[in-house]
Amino acid sequence: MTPAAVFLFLVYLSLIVESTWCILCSSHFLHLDAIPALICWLALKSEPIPGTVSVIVAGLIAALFSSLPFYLFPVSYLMAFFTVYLVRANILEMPYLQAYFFTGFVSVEILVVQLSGSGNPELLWPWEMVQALLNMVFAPPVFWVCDRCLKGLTKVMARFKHER
Amino acid sequence: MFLKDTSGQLQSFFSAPFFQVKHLWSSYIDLQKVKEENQVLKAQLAELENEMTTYREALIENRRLKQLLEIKEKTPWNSIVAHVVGTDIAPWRAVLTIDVGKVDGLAEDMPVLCQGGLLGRIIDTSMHFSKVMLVTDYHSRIAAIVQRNRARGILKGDGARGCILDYVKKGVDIQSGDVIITSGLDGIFPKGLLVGKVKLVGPGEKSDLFQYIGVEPTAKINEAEEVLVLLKPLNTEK
Repeated sequence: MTPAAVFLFLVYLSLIVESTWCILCSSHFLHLDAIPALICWLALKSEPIPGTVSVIVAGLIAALFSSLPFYLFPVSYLMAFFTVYLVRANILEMPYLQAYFFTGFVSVEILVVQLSGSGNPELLWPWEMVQALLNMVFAPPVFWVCDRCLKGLTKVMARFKHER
Repeated sequence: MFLKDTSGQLQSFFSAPFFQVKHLWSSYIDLQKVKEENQVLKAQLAELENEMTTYREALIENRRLKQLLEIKEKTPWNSIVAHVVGTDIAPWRAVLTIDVGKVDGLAEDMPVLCQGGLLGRIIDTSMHFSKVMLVTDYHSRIAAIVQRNRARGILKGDGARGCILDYVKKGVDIQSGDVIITSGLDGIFPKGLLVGKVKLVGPGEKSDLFQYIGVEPTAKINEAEEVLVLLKPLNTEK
């Protein structure tokens, strides 16, 4: 449950930042997007059921910040989550370096679903690839923040349990 | 006499270092005072600079609001001023969030203006916030006419490139710089709102029935901070 709580908190925070400050630091369509990296991180840390539930909740929250059809966000986020989760669970134990590459891959996945679903598939190339690369480069700091938050929250919860 | 002179000499000899030390001390005290004064002045300067920035910002805002007021006075519709508070997280959608909603009388399909002309229309409202689809959004469609020769067309959003005036037959005289206004035929926008200027005219492909007309919106889309939402015509209230 703890990784899911950290994930939801950081998703909400990044949505607020992306929908306000990113006006200032976006170029053409390119912008800093932390969500694919957050989904990758959750897929590495969480169990399938709390992970799935929190990804759906995150998708519904994201839909509030956009004019795209609301179901596109949960669907695209779930696809990304299960891609990384299944690779992690069934094929290999994924180190962070590979997870960074997977962030780029799931960014493509998310954008394909969202662009096709919103009726703008013509924008897929080449913008989507550059955005995926940018998300991949942005993944290490996102993972670092997630790990710090998880560590902090675990400590607080342990202290709370101990006091009780 | 001699004793007096000698005493005077001795006094001056002994008092010289005292006066020097006193002078040094008072210089030091003065320097301390200057230092303190300098710190106070620096703080005051920072405060004044801050105040000046605030005034400058207020002046710029005042200019923007004056321009909006001019638009407001020209239109016969009731209107409300709103502030832009956010943008869409899907970067290919040209959609803004403004800080007025249903409680302020907003509903879907209400036109939104800013300095320069038409900005877009309301596509979604909550109690206190609304979403505005800009004229440059790929899903935006507006019934428009060329002001000079009244040629009709549909103005489509084209993302960062601006807009395209579509469905204007080949052979219709369109020139670069022609003004595009709303025709009012879509039942959403009132007739005569300034939308943009023609920036590029091309024949398109040989097989195309219509010519390619690139339009630059006159509204300052990227700089929009305050916008004007047109509520409903005043005469319908009577």
